[in-house]
Amino acid sequence: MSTNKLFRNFKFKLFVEGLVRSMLAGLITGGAGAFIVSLVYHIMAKKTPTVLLASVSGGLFFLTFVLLFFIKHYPTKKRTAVRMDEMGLNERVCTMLENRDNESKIAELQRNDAVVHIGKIRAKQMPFRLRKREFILCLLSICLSVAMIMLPHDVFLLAEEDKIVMDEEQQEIIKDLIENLREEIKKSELDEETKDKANDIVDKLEEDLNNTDSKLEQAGKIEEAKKELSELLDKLLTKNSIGKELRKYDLTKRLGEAVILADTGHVSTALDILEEKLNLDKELVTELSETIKKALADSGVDAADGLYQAFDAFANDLDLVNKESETFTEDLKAIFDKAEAAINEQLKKQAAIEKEKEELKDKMEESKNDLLGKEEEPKPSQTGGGSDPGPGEEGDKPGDGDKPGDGDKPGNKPGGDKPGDGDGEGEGEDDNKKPQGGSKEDGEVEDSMTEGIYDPVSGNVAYGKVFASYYAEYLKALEKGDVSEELQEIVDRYFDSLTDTKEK
Amino acid sequence: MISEKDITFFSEKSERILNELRKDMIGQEEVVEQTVIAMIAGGNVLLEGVPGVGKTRLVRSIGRTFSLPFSRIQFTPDLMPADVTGTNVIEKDEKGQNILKFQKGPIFSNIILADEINRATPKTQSALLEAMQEHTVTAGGHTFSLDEPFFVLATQNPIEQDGTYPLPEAQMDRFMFKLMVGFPTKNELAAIVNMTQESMEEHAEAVLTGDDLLAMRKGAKDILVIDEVLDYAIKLVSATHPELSDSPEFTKKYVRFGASPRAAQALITAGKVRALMKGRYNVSYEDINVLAYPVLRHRIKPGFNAVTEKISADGIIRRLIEEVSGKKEKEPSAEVKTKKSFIGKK
Repeated sequence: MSTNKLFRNFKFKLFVEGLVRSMLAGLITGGAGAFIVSLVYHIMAKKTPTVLLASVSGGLFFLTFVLLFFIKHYPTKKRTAVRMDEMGLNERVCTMLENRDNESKIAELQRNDAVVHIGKIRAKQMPFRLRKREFILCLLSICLSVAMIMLPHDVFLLAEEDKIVMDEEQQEIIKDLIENLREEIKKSELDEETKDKANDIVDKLEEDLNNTDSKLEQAGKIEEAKKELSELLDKLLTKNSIGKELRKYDLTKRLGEAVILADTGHVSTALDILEEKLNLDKELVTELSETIKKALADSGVDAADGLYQAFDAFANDLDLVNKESETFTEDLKAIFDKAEAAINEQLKKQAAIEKEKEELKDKMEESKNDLLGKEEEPKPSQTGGGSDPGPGEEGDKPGDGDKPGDGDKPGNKPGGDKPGDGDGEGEGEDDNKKPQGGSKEDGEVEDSMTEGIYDPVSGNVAYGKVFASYYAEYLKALEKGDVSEELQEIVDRYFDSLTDTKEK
Repeated sequence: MISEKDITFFSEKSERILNELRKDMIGQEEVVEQTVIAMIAGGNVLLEGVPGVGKTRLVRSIGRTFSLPFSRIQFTPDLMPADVTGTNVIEKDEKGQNILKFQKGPIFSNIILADEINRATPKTQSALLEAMQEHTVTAGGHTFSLDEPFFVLATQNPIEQDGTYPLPEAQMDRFMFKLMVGFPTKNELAAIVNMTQESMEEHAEAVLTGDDLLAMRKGAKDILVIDEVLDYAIKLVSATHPELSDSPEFTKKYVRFGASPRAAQALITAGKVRALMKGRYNVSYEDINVLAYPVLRHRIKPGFNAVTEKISADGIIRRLIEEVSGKKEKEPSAEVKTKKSFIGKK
């Protein structure tokens, strides 16, 4: 019997097995090739050409398939015989094949024996040799390559962009700012609770700054933090609220103004004048007491505030001396002296807080400008926000109005105007002398967002001055969800264009 | 040239030998089968086992089965070479003159049982060397040929090593197989006890003459061995040599000395007999794997690492088979498809 006939069924099964195994191997290499090609193009952030992808993966598949099938898996007679022997024929088939031309008796007997035994096995009993590993590898290769092809071609670029990369200068500015703020808060005379709150603001600012490498965004965050710090410290500056209420009444108008200015000399003068007016006039004493109490009540200041308590004690003492004092004149003088000392002490404290606030703001403003690459902006007092920054009306005090930029501080007399010119309520004699970027009388911070950014001579808009403020407002609006996605794109482009203009 | 008649004869005789031996030997199928294989292949066998497991009984039964002259030599430390080979004695001839005449020793027999061979001195042990390999005995300047077939079936006790002389490597190599006779199972032990209550005598009957055995040996030589199987046997023997560059790392670590070329010869020769006994006309990988244990276990010397790690010679052989075949070695078992000899039953 010819071996071809004996082997036919087994050979066919091995043929199918060889096809499947070669195909699996081809899919593995083809998939791997597609993955690599696609990966290379993704790294280059280019779209993978379909023709290249198809030709590489197809070529590899075909090459692997052909090589493996015809070299390794093609069912030759020898391979078929080995697989048949592995079914328990103990090398009968191989021996028969090797001795097919042997004419000896033993070879003939062996062939007959082999044929008998081959008849006892069936091709379907021959197990397919398909390893799980091949299937898993094939599946993995295909899945990976498909996933890589489906990924957006600029995915690696986007990932790269998402990384926060700050230049050394940027890092240095941020580091210095945070260190300076912490140091400033530490050495300030603020109470511990306020220090903790201020430190929390600085901590948040540090986190925010490190979460982005956009200088514009960082400037916005600094601006936000600046406002938060200002608001925190403004709550402690009750002199403005109390002074404003006192100023509403004729009797206490001068005292109110002196309180707003936190000027101890003015306070002493105002109290002296009051004392003189009140002397021997018990009705006026009662009126003063009631006026102070009403002003305190209307100011909305917490009763625990030091300045509040000083005025409250003053009003109570006035009531007491009016009702019970036998030595009215002497007692009144003592009360006024006591009140003067208490009020001035509180005003000094508030002046220190105000100074602290200004220093913190200055540092933040400076860092913000450094980040945005702005040149040192001239202080408002130098840019014509007021007239000569010379000594004020009461310029006997060194520093009042002398320092450039003092004009933006409430209470200082910018341009040598009268006190109160900077209150923003039009009480000054000349609106042109209003301090730019200064505070309103109630201490509310209002930077030069709208003033002085347009130069009518050159026709240019100094966006650099308002950049951070605008951007901070934008971020707030984003957080609130007030800005639609379409609008976001427009606003983003607007800021990008401003950045480009500024950099140029 | 082998004929179909020879094959039929071989099949019938080998089946009858095994049947006769089974009358006296309960269990120990593998030992019995491999002893018969060695005898048909013309090899000597060293049986090792504790006292009382049936080593001597097996040899005696074989002597009866083969219907061949049988000598038993009890090896003791004072046994001299001449006690084995024979010696010249003075005799008077017809004229009354004194002449020297060679008195043949017990070795001049067809089947020799060398009981407890390791108890004799090396000098006496070496007296067997020439007989085992050349089938001749040289004494008093004359060389005497031994009658064919000639076998030495030696036994040795693995315990009680005091006062024993381990067989030298050269002598060990003369044994085709070293068979380990193990302790019987409980059922086998019960059957042995019952059988020996009636009589201690062997029951095996002679079924084969010396000429028959020689004819069977001649017939087995024609069995076919394909190149791959021959190559496999050679690789297996070569793999036992740690000094060879391509030997496995395992061998280099655990083997001190490898097997001699006689091992390869024995593997193929015995493989042919086994194949024929199993009803095949070709030697298979399985034949080589099964016979590798008795052929190689006394020919390889485990090294220091093997001794310290308690790896036996059989453990080394098992590992070598796995290394060379690339397959996990299973316990030697009977063929899956062909359970009985079918030759002559067509």
